[in-house]
Formats: sequence, structure tokens, C-alpha cells
Amino acid sequence: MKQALFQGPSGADEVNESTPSGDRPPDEEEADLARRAAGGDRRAFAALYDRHLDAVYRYAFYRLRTDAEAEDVTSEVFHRALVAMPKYAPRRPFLAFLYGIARHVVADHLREQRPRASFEDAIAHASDAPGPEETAAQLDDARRLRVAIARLTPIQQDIVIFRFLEERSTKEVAQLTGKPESTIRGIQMRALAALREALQSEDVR
Amino acid sequence: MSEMKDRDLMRFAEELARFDHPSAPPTLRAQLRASLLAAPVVAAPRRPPFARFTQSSLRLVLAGALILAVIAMAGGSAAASSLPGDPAFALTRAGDEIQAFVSFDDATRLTTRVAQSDRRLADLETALAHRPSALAPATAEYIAATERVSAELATVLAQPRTAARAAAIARTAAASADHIAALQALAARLPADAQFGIQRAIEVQQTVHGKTETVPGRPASPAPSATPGRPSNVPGRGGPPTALPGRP
Repeated sequence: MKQALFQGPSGADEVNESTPSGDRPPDEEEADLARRAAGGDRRAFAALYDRHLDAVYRYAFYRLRTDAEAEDVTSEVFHRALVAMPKYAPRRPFLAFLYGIARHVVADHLREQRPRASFEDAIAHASDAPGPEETAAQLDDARRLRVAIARLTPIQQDIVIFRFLEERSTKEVAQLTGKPESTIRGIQMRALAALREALQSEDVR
Repeated sequence: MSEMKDRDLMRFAEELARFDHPSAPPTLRAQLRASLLAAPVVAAPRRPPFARFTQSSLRLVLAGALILAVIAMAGGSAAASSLPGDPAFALTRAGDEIQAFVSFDDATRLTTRVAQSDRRLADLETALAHRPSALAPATAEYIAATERVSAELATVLAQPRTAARAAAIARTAAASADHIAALQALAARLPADAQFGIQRAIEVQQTVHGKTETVPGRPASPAPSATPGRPSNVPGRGGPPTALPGRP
């Protein structure tokens, strides 16, 4: 772990509010791969998979309760993407296409899971993370962050993940979510405040 | 006051960005990739105008037309003697695709793909002996041919047990063991700048071999030894290596 989670404010560096990573230039190679994949080229699709697997996995990881669910959803996203490739519009970033599918799959998954158990129950009894005797206090940072992110609204969750965990610019987040940049800027500060508050609460520490 | 609060929040955001974030587990990466490559091709939304033909008769008609076209473009002999990287090699590749296309079942197609990978291995050896400039494209073609074997093998493995299926898998396993040995011998003779490609080829072939070993009831074939000085792939998981070029 690079640093302990939420050490509190430190230093007073100037921050570029709009683009922590800068706007990424359009990726011609990726557009070409996507066109080929849409035409049925399976190796091109595999290359796109190699590029974006981790991003999709992290999205699912932070939106869902357990590692196993994140793996299932990631698998579902890529299988749906493969089927939907002939309908892919190349003018749209491929990652936006994947995230669009991922949002639907996550929403479906959460809808199915809701009646069964609370988030905290699932965390406490997740088979692939802490043992039954462990409490949230013993979760590692990524999993604590996951618990905290789950307390945000869905759009706040998306923006925290895309903007601050994946370090995408406001413009990119706007493309990925289909919302205006001004909306993203407005939501991101509220999302950060809510996330910080969630991380400070006793049951997430 | 509000500006201070915003700056405070952005510092918090910077801290978030510095955390280690999870990556997809290697087993998921390998298994999902194999599953995607092996998934059936999605049918085109519109049916062709000659949809009244059965699939097999359509295949025969199309294959005949394509073979004639290839012969007419001719270049048969030029293609046969061409090496990867030559303009005429496109005809060889087209011929390979036709051969696979006209196979009537997946087991036959797997055997065809294995035979094609044998020829790409021979091309690789020829390139090393006579034309070092063709080494890189020959390696790339070999890897592509082996990946096609891997994808076809995954399809066959998912099917019910038949004698034809068992024979095709056994042929694949034997060829795979031979290829790994041949590739390791080649690797010892290749220059340093060609090592990455050949090691990648070995990894892909080890993946194929790993898949054949997962078949229940099949006696294990002589296990090819791991590449010297390089960690072996995870053949038991049936997936590709976890460090492909171009991966984020």
C-alpha cells in the first residue's frame, strides 16, 4: 500500500481541479482495434480486453460488495461487449462503451442482490475477503474504500471512481457518464465530501 | 471559506489517487480471455439472400468459389514457397482460412489448425536458416497460428466426448509438446533481439499444452520443460501468460 488510507489533510499544494491527469489524446490505435473488433476480429477484441480489463474490474470492485461479485460482473461485461460489438459506434470511446455496459450489469446485479443481505452483512461474511470473525476495521484500504464508496449515490460513485481513482479528466468523465462537464464538477465536490465523511465513520475505519 | 474547503477536498482527492488499487486477479484475466476467444462468433443480424441453402452446402459453394479465386489469383506456387512477410504470404494465409472454413466439424478444424501451426513452425525454422529478416513476421505468424489452435481447442474441449474429439486433442497435445521442444531449441540459436518473440511463442504453446492436460482421463503427455531462465506460464489454468505486450 502506498500510504495509509485517509491520513487527513497534509501539505497545501495547488491542485489542478479540472484535469489531474490531463486530457488524454485520442488513441488511433484503439479506434482501429475497436473497428476491427466490431467487424468480428477476435484478436482485436482480445487486445482491447487486455487494455481495459483492469479498469472494468476496478469499477466492479468498487461498486460491488465482494471480490467474487466483481469478477462475475467483469466477466459478464466483456461477454456482453463481445455480443454487442457489431453495434459499437466507433466515434464513441471504447472505454465509454464498456463502462456503459458495466453500469447496467452492476445495476442489475445490485437489484438482484438487494433483498438478500445488507452491504455490511456481505462484507462481514464475504467468502473471499475477511473471515467471518473479522470486522470492517480489519479490511484493507481498497476494501475500506469500497465500503465507503457504497454509501454514495450511484452517480457520485461513478464520478469518484472515474475521476479520482482512475484519474480521468473532467472531460473524460463527462464522456464516460454522458453528463455535462459542469455537472461533473458540481457533483465531484459533494462526492468527495461524502466519501471523506464515510471514511471517517467508525464502522469503516 | 468555501475555497478553502474545496482545496481541502482536492487534497483528499490527491491522496485517493495515490493508493494502490486492485487489479484483476491473474486467474480471472487468463480464464476470461480464453473464454472470450473461444466464444462462438456472433451471427450477422441480416440473413444473406441465399439463406435457403443449408449451412454445409453453402460452405461447399463458397469454399469452391474461394479456392478458384485463390488459384486464379495465382499464385499457388508462389504462396507455397513464400515466407511470412512476403506479399505472396497473404495467399497462404487465405488458403489456411479456406481450409479451416471447409472443415465439417470442430475436431477436424482443430487438426487442420494444428497442421497449419506445424507449417508456421517450419517457416520459422526456414527463416532462421535462410532469411533472418523474416524472423519477426514468421514469429508473429506462428503465434497467431498457435492462438487459433488454442481457440479451436477450447471449442473442442467444451464438446461431448467422441472418438474424433479425443483423437484431435491427442494430436494437438503431441504437436504441442514437439513444438515446445523445437521452439526451445530455436530460442538457443536466436539473437537477443528475437528472444522476446520466441519466448512469447513458447508461452502461447505452453498454454495450449496446459489445456490438453486438463482433459479428464487423458494420460499426461511428456511434460515440456519450462523455458530456461524464464518463469513458465500457468498451463493448468488454461489461460495465456499474464504479461502480454500492450496490456495496461
